[in-house]
Amino acid sequence: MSQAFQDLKIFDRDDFPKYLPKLNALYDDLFSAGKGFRSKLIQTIGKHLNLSDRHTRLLAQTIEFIHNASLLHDDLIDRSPLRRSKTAAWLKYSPEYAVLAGDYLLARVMVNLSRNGNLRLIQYTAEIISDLLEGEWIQDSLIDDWRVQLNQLDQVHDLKTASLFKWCLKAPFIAQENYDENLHQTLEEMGTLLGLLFQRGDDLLDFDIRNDEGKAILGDLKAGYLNSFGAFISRDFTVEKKDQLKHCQTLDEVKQMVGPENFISLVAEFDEMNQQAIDLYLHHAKSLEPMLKPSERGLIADLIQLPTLLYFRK
Amino acid sequence: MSSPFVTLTPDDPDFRPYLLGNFSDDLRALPVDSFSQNSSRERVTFRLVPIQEIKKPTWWKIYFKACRPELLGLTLGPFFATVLLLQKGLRASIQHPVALIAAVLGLFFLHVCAFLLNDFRDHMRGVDFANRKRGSQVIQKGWASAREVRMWAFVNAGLALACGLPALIVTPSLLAVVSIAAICVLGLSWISSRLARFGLSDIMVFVGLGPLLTAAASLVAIGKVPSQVLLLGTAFGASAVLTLQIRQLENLFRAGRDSFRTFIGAFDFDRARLLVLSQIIFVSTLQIAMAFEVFHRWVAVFGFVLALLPLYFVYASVKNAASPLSSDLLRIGRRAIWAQTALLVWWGAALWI
Repeated sequence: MSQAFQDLKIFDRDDFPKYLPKLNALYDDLFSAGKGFRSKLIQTIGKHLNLSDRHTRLLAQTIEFIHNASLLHDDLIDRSPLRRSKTAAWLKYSPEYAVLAGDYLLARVMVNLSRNGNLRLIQYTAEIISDLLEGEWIQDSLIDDWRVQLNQLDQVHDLKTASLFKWCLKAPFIAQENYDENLHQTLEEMGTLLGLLFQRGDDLLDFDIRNDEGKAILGDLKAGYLNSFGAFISRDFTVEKKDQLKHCQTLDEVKQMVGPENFISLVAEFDEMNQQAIDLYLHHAKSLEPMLKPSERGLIADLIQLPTLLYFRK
Repeated sequence: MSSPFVTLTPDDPDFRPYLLGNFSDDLRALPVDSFSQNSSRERVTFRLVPIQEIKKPTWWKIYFKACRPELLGLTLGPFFATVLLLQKGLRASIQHPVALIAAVLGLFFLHVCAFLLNDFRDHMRGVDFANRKRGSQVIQKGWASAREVRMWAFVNAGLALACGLPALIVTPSLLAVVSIAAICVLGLSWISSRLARFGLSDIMVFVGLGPLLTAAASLVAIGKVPSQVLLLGTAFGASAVLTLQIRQLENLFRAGRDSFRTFIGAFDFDRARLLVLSQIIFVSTLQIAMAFEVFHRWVAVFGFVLALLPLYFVYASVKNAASPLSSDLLRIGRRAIWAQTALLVWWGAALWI
């Protein structure tokens, strides 16, 4: 992803009321540590579509606001003490402030988009926020559900994770008032696959696989949530074995349970399964060519890099 | 092969051969993605797999899976129960045993034909690959091409007709019942989504797998339809509708989002759950009432409570499910079929004794 766009300022204190200093302080903390991957994706697509700076900033800000609002709510729902290695907002400020700050971001999204005036974009954004919340709601019902299967989780992740990727891919075209149905369906499917791959790659970090980011190990499992890789390795477990997995406190215990060599082969099998999703994504990415203007086709080369980046974290 | 995927539109001359599976002798096209299903803008993405690489069981195992043996109780069960009721309960003598046996075989082939055609139709509509819990999945797994499945369906239809002919000859009035059954079966496939979501499909299932089926069995066996047979059919019909609705609960999440043609799909999760729970209570009460009506003995009714235990476990799972994706609903359809089978076994055993 191009380095040239990394300086785009998503959060500006001037965008928020000065008479709410605590809210601004909370946002300062929240926005200062994020990677801003989604906004960079918007900028990359915007560059190829020759989107104006104003539109690019609006879209980048929109996706980061939605994403960060979901993090504020998510941390409170999960009672996560840390976010991006810092004290989570609900702990540092208060649960009430965390909820209000998340709600305020979502409200700002609608204010900003409605000023822009593109009704299709407003409608699509509202749909995506609904999907995100539905995903959160359903995911909460899967806590302490140790029989959960990969296909159930995929459906939750399609709502919770993939919805934002779909938005990133489609919103720049909507902003440009390009509503080509074939194009949007292909982008929708690509967004679904990206969300799936990102989430599965993220779930592998929990088992310390390709965990260069240094994410906390077994965080999901200890919180009572069997993530996609957990569901994959335990798909043939007996009730007793699942109960054992539930009580694992270290990764070594998990590996001993599965068998260290078997653990490695399970990772390889999981990768192979996801490689098929990557191949399908690449097929769809290449099929975009006739749907794009000649000047926009450089986008395909950038899009092709995404699944490896998101799943293998390369 | 440069890419294992290919995306086609209905305008493409290869589109139908790819769906049917007769585009190549060496490759099978497994649909993996579909856009704008059943519209002029439809596009389907296929994954091309060399036939040699597909690990498929022997043909009879594929046939066995495709004929949906787990659902045979819904079709053959009421038929057998009716014959037992007539013979053991009402002391009637079977007029044409050969025609009756042939009719049972015919019903079996009709069952197989209906599910094969359903698999074929859902594959062509892009339904079964969007939801891997639907159908037998023999086409989606590449075990058989859609064309082969359609051919098997026609063969089974022919066998059903051949086996059903003796019964039609000895009991011409059966033709009326078969015609209504045919309308129900065809109606299930062709009624509009709106009517299906209003419950017309459930009514057709009730009639077709309930009173109509037991009436047909009675006509073939003794040439007339006593009222007890219709009561028995009512109990089985209600039970069949319940089984199908519980199976639909497994797909409720998708049904809600993709507007599937189901009655249950018209409701939100909590209401659908409430509906199913109420129906479990209704069907259990109905079955107990029917049992009393047929046997006139409380001893039989008490024994019947045991047969309702599997249904109770289904009730508990549905009640505990926190969301349409809850693991409490995993394999709930299969468990509902077990509950239906337990009821059938009880009816069979009680009538036999």
